[in-house]
Amino acid sequence: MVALNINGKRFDVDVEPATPLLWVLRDTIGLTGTKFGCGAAICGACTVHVDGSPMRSCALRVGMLGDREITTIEAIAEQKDHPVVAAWIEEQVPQCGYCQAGQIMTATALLASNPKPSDADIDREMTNICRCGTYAEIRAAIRKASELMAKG
Amino acid sequence: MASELDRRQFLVATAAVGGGMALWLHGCGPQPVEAALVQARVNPQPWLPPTEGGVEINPWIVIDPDDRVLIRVNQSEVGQGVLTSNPMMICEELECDWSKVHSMFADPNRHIRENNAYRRLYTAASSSVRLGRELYQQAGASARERLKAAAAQEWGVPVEEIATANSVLTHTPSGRTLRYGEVAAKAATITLEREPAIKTPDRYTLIGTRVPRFDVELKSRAQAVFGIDIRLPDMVYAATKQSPAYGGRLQSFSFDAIRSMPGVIAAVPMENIGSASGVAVVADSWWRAKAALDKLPVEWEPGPNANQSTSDLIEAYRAKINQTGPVAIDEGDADAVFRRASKIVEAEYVLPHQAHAQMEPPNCTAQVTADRAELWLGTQAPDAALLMAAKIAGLSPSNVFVHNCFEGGGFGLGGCHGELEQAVTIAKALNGRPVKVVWSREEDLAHVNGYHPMGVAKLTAALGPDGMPIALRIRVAGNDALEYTPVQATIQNTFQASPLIEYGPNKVRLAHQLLRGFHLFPYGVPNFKVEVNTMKTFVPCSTWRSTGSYANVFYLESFIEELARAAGQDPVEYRRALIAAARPEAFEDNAKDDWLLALNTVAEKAGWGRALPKGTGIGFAMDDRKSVAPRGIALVALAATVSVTPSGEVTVERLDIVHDEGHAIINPEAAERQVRGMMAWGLGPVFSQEITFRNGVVEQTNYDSYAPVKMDLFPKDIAIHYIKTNRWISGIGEEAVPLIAPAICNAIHMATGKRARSIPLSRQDLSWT
Repeated sequence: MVALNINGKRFDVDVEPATPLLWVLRDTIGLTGTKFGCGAAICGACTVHVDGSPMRSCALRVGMLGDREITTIEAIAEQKDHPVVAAWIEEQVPQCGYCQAGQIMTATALLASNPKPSDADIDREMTNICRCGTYAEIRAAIRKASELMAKG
Repeated sequence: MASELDRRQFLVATAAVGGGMALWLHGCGPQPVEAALVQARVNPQPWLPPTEGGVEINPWIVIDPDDRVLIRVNQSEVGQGVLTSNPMMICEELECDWSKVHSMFADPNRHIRENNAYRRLYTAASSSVRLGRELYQQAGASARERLKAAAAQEWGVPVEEIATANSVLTHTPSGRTLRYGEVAAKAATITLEREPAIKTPDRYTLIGTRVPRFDVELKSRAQAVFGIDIRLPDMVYAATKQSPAYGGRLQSFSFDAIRSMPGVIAAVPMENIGSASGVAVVADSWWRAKAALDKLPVEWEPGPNANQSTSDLIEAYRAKINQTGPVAIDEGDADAVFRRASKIVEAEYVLPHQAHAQMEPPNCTAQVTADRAELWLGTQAPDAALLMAAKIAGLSPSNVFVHNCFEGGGFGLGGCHGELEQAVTIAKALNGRPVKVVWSREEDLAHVNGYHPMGVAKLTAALGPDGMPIALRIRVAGNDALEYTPVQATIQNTFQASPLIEYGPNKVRLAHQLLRGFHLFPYGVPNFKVEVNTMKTFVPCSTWRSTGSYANVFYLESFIEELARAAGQDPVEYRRALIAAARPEAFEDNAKDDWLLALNTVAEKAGWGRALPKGTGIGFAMDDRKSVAPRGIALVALAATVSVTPSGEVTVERLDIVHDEGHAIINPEAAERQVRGMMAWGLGPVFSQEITFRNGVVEQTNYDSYAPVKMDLFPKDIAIHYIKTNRWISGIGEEAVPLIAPAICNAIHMATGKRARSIPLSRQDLSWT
């Protein structure tokens, strides 16, 4: 049994310690918001927060996580007025939508450490892939979220 | 023997994340109706309505007693916005309260059982509006008139005295009102003597407005259910691997080696399934299936293509364009002109294969019993998926149910290929136990069913004393983009039934996609010859965003600027003169003046003619996406402003896109996002993306070796401009894609003097002094 601390709740899961967190979230626990895109930590669709830092859950073995605080998109998205989610909606960011959970998790972490990111900051941190090409909308949403956060 | 699934695997913690976020066990019976869903525009499971109930007026429209209107949508949602724009086209006529409109996917089972109840149920060729608008407007208008007839009966008044707005019927002389919900049941029993005329664009009040899309909030809260998210009680998972080399066969595998790995249930050989023979490992979680598959000892027969690489393919294609090929077009006598011409410009262009690599990897969940099959997947062709599943399961289509999910990217090949065949085949063996097949990214790249065609072309022109071309010969060699289409089963009525046609006076057999854009030639050249070599190789090919236009526009729009530069002339003026010299009949839909307008507009918007810094250039490309069988056009012109450092690093500074607006764009909010998205799609192949083969095996294995463009290389300056024309444009989904590569290559040439006749640019040395 592996004990995990996800979205403020403890889960005891009967999986091999080498199982990637991504698949424990999706298949074992049923938190399917975090997506599988590449399995090689390239695309970012599987991004979660571990102690607040954005990490690619396809590359995190559950046996190595200990009691670190894991936050998934579900915890962000359930907040009715979360500024990043609100900005994403206002800017009509998603097209197919598949990459967007990972985009939001990465953007949320970026804004937490850098509330007024420059274009260069965004270019450097937002390395998630979007095949639909919503990059312009993501940029606009990050700026909007920054404004919403500043308003408080 | 399959072991009893450990129920602890489905540990579901409904309280885990606080109020309201129930975790779904999808598709296992009626879902708890959350308060939020009552307001929702679309169900997270889009094959279901957000709320039940209401009266069906026609297959597209259901009206509740409280005036909620449910629209059943003919197309799949791949991010283009059909769950919103199709209802817009219907509700424009219905004149209901838009704030109470919600939508879902039409039911493929019903569609087939009721003999194509929805006319067409697939999403391809940017055709949702082109092939659907009149139908949807008619469905809305018809329903509106039936509601009016019902109110007329209720009041005993002539129907002409009744007005409709916002789901309210008003008897104008008396001021009496009824709501749609109050007369819906009666309206459902009424048959009109005559169907009403649909609105002309000048009367639109909803179409053309910026409407927030119904699924945006779901997707921003990660609630949208994609095929890969499906979870069912007792479900097992399969990881699959097909022969790495195309044409190879599974020889043997050793199940004993993985039998006792955690969760492993079975290993299933798959013959004639998907694009190549292979093996599936079934387990109680996908990770366990994948881990076991990776450890499974497998022997492959290499097959006939194990010594075939991309270099061999290019050689074979180049051989074709260095000899006379099947002559599709021969106006005047280009060969005679070449024999005596003094100034000849010639160029060879090469384009590699491409893949779709949608963010959501191929997946399908299937449950098959002796008398019924159910599938869950995101597919651009749910009816073709149903027919395919019925065939494999040996069932009548009326007993097969396809639940179309949100689709994590379509791009021409979303859903309905190998993964579906695998899922149904394995499900059949599991006799009622559902199985979810998920392909790894590596499996996806290695087994696209099929790839965007490779293309090679040789263009030759003889220039007259004024620098204009007096003869032009185009020789192309490429695969047919319609070689494999999941919708072949269902397209007979709409597209050309056969992608291979007999063309021209010589009745040469060719794939019409390879002739596309040349069959009506927009540049006036008195001697014009086109030779088309339709290539069939071991690489399966299929539709990819912009299909046959992609290659031909690259060749032509690159070459036209090469000619202009060879003649020492301004490429915009050169194009202008060539368009002016072309016969009006050479333009589908009388578009000659529109071509000139688009060209002039894009040149102006891009600031053509201003002094540019050293190392910066502007390149152009234009096209109208016409097809050999005329079916409407959308004119697009693009200007790429590009800078190149002396060491050869390319930056796309700005993209100006001039797009045909036609009579109306249904939802400009969605359309503009499509245009920007097309830019990202087209930039990847320019910078680095290509699919190459070595010994019959795809060399690219993941998003690192097949790298889409990311945020840092996506231009920050993209300007979209419209030209108003007198047509219904053919669509906005892929039209601008082919313009990107030639415009950028043209700009690079202007900036550096270096001409790239092949992409990706990562293979080129663009350094300059």
